Amino acid sequence: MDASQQNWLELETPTGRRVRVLTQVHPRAQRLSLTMGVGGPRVSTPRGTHPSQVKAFLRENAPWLERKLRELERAGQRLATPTPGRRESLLWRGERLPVRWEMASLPWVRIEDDAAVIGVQLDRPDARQIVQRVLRAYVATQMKREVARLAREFEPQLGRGIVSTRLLPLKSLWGSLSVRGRMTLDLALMLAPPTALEYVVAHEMCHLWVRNHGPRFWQRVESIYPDYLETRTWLSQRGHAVKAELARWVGTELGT
Amino acid sequence: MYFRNLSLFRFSTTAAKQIDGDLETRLAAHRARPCGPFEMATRGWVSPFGGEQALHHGVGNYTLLTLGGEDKLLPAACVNAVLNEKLAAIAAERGKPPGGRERRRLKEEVLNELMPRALARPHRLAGYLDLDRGWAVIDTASKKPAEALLTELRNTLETFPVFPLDPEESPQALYTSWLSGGELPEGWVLGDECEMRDPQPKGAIVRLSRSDLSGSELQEHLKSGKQVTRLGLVVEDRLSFTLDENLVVRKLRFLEQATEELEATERDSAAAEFAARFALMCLSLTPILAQLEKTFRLSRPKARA
Repeated sequence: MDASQQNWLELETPTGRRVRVLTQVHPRAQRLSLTMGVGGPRVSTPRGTHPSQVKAFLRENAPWLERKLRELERAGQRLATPTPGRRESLLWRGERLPVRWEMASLPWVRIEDDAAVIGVQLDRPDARQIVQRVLRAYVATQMKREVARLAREFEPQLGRGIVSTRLLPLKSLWGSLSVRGRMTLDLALMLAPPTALEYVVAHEMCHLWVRNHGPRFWQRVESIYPDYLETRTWLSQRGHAVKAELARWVGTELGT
Repeated sequence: MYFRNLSLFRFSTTAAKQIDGDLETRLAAHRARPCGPFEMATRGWVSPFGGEQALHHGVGNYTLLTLGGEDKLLPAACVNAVLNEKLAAIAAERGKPPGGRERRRLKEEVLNELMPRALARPHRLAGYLDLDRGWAVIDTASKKPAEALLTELRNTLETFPVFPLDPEESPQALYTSWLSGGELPEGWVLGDECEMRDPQPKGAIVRLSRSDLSGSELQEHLKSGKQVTRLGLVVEDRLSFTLDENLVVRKLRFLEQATEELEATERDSAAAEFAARFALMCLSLTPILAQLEKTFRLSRPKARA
């Protein structure tokens, strides 16, 4: 999407809460629509919509937006982009870890048993962007090792192996497998409980034998990962919160 | 004959067994030939030594192969110019331009007319196989020609499963740590070139060449969270190269110390000189590939029954 067609609007809800909403011109939009996505609230508008129309639409839907925000907060989902130096928490492998900020000239990330430690020069004006960059690189590095371990584990059982892996934030999928055997996985899986990544790797590797999602495919998944149903349900019900958490930390722009 | 760039691939011990005494006959069945009048490109094997000599050259467990062929040069602009002339003539005659189907037919006609007159550009690409350790090393930095060579090899041997590298350790993370003062593999030192990227989509890119990589301007970029995606390295004063995020080796240069032993000895023929250079190259690259394997944890594909 063209960045010039994006704009931020600030909206005041009936209880006086101020919410930032992304407005985006969508070439195929027929009418105004307000959605609560990975990057927070967003309004899609058809081309040529007057800003006053957008504002009126938002005022009209402010109670809905507030209700939705409250629902997400109750479910434990955080929405605001993290600010370096402030009290924060990071979802890592299914556990919410408090973030400990440290002053460091070269940025780094370390996950300890009871905290996520992020070293960054806190007084820099672009500290937030630095944290996004360094965390994205950290998640990818850790995930690469974990995926290699899982692939090694499943390979003898399957008799076939993946050719290579690619890790990046994905919008709606958790993973995919190309015809050449290259596996693409969502970086957000590293934030979910470890079983999520295990299941998705097992799932994609079973596609090396069966390219569809028919009964033969699920039989094969069950043979190497018996608890797949539980994790699959978890991903479909709670997965969006994990994707939102990744977007909160590494930015809302998806893909590379 | 030294390779300038290296695209690396791996193969299993089972695949290595396919390279046997029969190789020369199999290669001969896929010998390169010139383009026919209506062919755009041809591919096949040529002798690494040039001329009509053997189609492969083996030293120990290293086998050198050279893919040859021709590509016809027929720029789209030339085809369109002739086509437009024809279309204009037809439009003037009939009073209306010809329809889509007829245009396609005319384009085919123009291609058939021009192709026999087009110049053919010769193509050559060398690669070697390290059968012991399962490396396929191809002298190019681009993916497409490297894969074309492997496809031809697969056609020649009927089957030859070769895999791209899949490092367990992220190259970007390692390059970034090396440049931030981390420890490099033994005998490796930083070169004079690097590329840094903001890992976010459409992020900033900084390229430095012929620069001191310990300078403060570079540290400033690292402080802003940029990741190193390409890094120049020098190994034991013998070799220098640039490694990228996909572990493609570029700008490979054999430094004086590596080549001076070779220059010192005289050889009778060009073929002997060539063979000596190939042996020196393989022996110099083997420890580098072993180091890459260890540092980035590149596993060799498992043999399958």
